[in-house]
This record gives sequence, structure tokens and C-alpha cells, in this order.
Amino acid sequence: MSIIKQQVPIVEQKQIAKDIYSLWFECPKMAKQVRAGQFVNVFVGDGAKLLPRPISICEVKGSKIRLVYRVTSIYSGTKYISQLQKGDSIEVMGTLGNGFPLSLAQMKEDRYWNANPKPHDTDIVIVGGGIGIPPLKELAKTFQGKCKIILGYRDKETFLAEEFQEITDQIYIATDDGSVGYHGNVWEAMQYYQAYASVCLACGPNPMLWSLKNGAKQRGMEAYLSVEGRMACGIGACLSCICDANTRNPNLNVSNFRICKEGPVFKADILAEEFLLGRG
Amino acid sequence: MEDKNISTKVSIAGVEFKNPVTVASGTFGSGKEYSQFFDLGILGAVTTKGVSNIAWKGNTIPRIAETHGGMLNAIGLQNPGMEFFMQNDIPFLRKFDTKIIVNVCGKSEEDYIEVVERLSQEDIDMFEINISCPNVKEGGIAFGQSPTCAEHITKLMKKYSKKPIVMKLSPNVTDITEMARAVEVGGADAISLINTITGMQIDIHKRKCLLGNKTGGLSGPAIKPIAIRMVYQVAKAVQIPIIGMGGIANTEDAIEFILAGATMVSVGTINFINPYACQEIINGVIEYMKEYNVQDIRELIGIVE
Repeated sequence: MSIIKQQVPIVEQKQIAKDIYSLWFECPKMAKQVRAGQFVNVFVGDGAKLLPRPISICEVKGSKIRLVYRVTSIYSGTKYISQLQKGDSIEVMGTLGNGFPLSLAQMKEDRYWNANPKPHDTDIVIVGGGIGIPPLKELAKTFQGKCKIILGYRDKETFLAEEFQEITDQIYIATDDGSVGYHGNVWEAMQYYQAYASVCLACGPNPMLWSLKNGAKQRGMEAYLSVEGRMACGIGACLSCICDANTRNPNLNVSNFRICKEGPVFKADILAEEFLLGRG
Repeated sequence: MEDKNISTKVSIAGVEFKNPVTVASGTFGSGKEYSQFFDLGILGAVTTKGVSNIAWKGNTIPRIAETHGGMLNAIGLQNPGMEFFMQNDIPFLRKFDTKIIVNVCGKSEEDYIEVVERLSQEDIDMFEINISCPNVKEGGIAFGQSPTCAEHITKLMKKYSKKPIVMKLSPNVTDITEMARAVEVGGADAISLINTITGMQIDIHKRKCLLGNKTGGLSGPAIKPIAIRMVYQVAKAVQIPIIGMGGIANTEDAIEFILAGATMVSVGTINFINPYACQEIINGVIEYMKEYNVQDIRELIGIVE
């Protein structure tokens, strides 16, 4: 696998919810190497906004890659990206990060977390919250829908939910305001629907991941969490996007990990409380 | 890009570099991440991320913020410590046909001495002493804002080091030439400048400082005019060579620094945005020399009046 950096054509751009956009671009070489949970750096191409925007890959179809992202403010780089249309081009670099462990073999491989997983080929629960939901689509596709899915949203803007329903019928929705599905958070929904599994793969805001980490531990579930951080390089050089850990990182000789390089998916046990509770 | 009629070689304190391009400490790790983009052997030197006597975990997050044409960072000199560095990074870098400049950081005089003494026994080419990091409270910049302290620490480094010493200066001073003269008097073999400029950004939604460290160092193209001015002033004030840096994003920027008085240039923040930047700049310097019929890069150093 090599990192590709190039200008790519946009083949579709659509707003799918308030501030949420779906963008498809064409890059055959990159599409071939995508693993669920990886991300790409998107360059705004503006001398004022230098840094790339790290955006997770929502899914791949043939030579096309889809990003579903949130526009963070009217002055943001994502605002600029959202204004591009079919026929425009944009510079991207990827694929970056490791993605989710997709097989028992991969989980056994001693990466940083000394995984000791149970067989789980058909015993997985995928959990997403808010803008953490998009990368889980490729993941759900990888398991061909042989998994339970719990998606948490703020309100009735349940973007991508219908697309997940096409992948599996074992899907549960939770909303903060109770407008759709279970009224509460994803961990409460998981308990309510008894949607447990031996392995939990999740992406979402840190407080959600914190409750999942604790819940998974109680239930004896193996949990892998995809986290985000403020990044500059995206390749492990700048040490901006670190997350505090409960274990020493053999690559850096201190107890934190680079989200871009060793992550963005980590075994839940190694993520420190200070990081997930925003005190890190 | 070899051209027999063109020489890009420069030398500092008897160390010869194949070209004047190195990287700014902290923007390139020890090169591993960038070696997947180009052969590190094309570089004049790799300047490593700061190395301290023991491992430093660095600052709390967030550690960076984007700014107009630049970025603020407060990484806090996270590094694995000198023993880990010696076992892993030096052997890695020695696989490439380039020079190794080890950036040294510390919180006390003893820290700096320990690193310089220990690494003097290793296969490295030069030290760059960071007395100008704005993000480490205990030391770092404390040595870099008083001429007396800077001269003193330079003398100590010269005493304990068996390799040439480059002193890295902070722009967060009233008169940069005063600092430059002080390290020259202290015996520095060269000066590198500028380190980052202290800045701050506020998160208006949370109504608090965006960076975990509150303040951070501003880098990137936004600071280049300040850096050029300081390199120019220092070049006129001292006799020792200068490694110039601060916002270099392309060949034109690099040439500007050389004309202002830099013997070498360090490519920094732009590495995060364009991992091929160094390669493009090295090739571009040769193109510039061909275009203007410059046979020896040294003809260009500091020729701007």
C-alpha cells in the first residue's frame, strides 16, 4: 500500500442533511486499497487554509470513493469543499490510517493492543454516533450486513440511516431528542434492544465512546473504537493528533498514540480516560 | 538532477552538505514518515525532531490550530528520549546518503549537557541547540531570550560537544542581532533562525484558548517576511554561517533566504501539507541556478545589500 497524493475529479456532491454533505470522487488507485475506517486528507487549495482536512472514507464503489462530512462553519475549509460540484477537481492524499480490524487473524496480530478476541465472524455490533457514522458504511458492507448496527443521532436528521437499512435489517436507531427510534444514547439503546455481540466496532464522539468502552467491558465485549483528533500531516510526523493511552507506545516510547498513524481505530482498553473525557 | 557545471555544495564548520536544503526540526520526525515519499538521500541534511535526555510526553491536546497562511503548534517537544533515538533513528538515517543534524532540547543546563555529551559519541554530524521553543515552560526559551544566558549555554555546549554546534534562535526578542552576537561570542559554529513566533487562538464557542497549552508557536508562509528580515539582519551582524527558516513553501522562498544571507535553508511546516516539498525545492534551486547561470550556490549567499 502506498500513499497517493493527486488532483481528482469530483463525480457527485450532494447535501444530505443540515450541514452534512456527500461527495464522490474518482481515483482508481486509491479506491483499490481502501480499508473500512481509513481516511483521506482533502486539500482546500487555498494559501490561507493550508492544512489538509482529514475526512473518513464512507464507502467505495469500483473506482469511486465517497466522503460524507460536516461543514463546520461558514469560514471553514469544509465549507469550501462543499461548494465544489461535479466536474470540479480537488487534491486528496490517501489512504491514511489503519482502519478497523476486519478478521480474527488481523485482530490476533499483535499490533499495539495485544488483542485476545473471540471468534466473531457473524457476531459483531457496529455502533456509530453523529458524524462518526459515515465510515461505518464501508465496514457494514465488508461484513455483508452480517452484523447488528446501532446508529445515534441528535434529532430526526438521520442521514445515511436508510442506506444502512439496505445492508441489514438488524438496525437500531437512537436519537437524543427521541424524534426517531429509541430516546437516548447508543449504549442505552444497545441495552434496551439487547443488541450485544462478542465484538463492538464503533465511531463517534468521545463521550459516546467512553460509555461504550465501559459498557463493553461490563458485557465482556471486545471493543474497537475509531477516534478523531486535530491533525496537521496525517502521516505520523507532526505529533499533533495524539491520544493519551494506558500503555506505552513502542513506536514513540511514551504513553500516547498517533491517531493518524497507529489509529484511528484503537482497542478500547488502551484509550485513556483523560482522552475520552476530554481532559487529555 | 546532477549537473557537472553546477555546484550546490555548502559547508558549515567543516561539514560538507551536498546542497543547502535541510528540514526544520519537528516537522520531519527523523524522516521515517517522509522516506515513503522520496529518497532522504537527496537532502543536504536531515534535522531531527528535538531530542532530550529522557522521553518527553509533550503537551495536552489540542496541540495545533490552523491560522491564516500558517499554523500554531504547541506539541511540547514530545520525543522518545536519547537512548531510544540512538537505537532507532540514527541507524535508520545512516542508511541514506545525507548528513544528520540532531536538534537538542532540555529543561536545564544539565539536560542539554547530558544529551550533547552522550550523542557526541554517536555517528552524527552536527547539533542544533534549541534554546527557543516557546512551548516548554521550564527551559527552552528561557535560555533564548537573554543574551547573557544564550552566550553561557553556547559556551557550555562547545565545551561538552565533540561535534559542531548550531544555536537556534527565537524571534520573540527585541533585537535578534544582539542574540546572534551573543552566541557567536559564545563560540557557536553557526546560527539557525527563526523558531516559531508566539501566538494564541481562542475558541469562540467554548470561550477558551484553543490550544491545550494556551499559547503556541506560529509557523508557515505567514511568518516568512519576518524570518527574511531577521536572517538579513543577522547575516550583517555576525561572521558565522546561518541556517535560515520560517515559512519556506517553495523554491522561490528558499532562494530568498539564501540571498538574505542563509548558507542553508530549512523547509518546515510545508512538509505537513506537501510531503514532496523538499524534493521540489532542491530541484528548483538547480533550475534557478541554470536560469541565472550561477555555477556555485555560494555565489548567492547574502548578496542582497
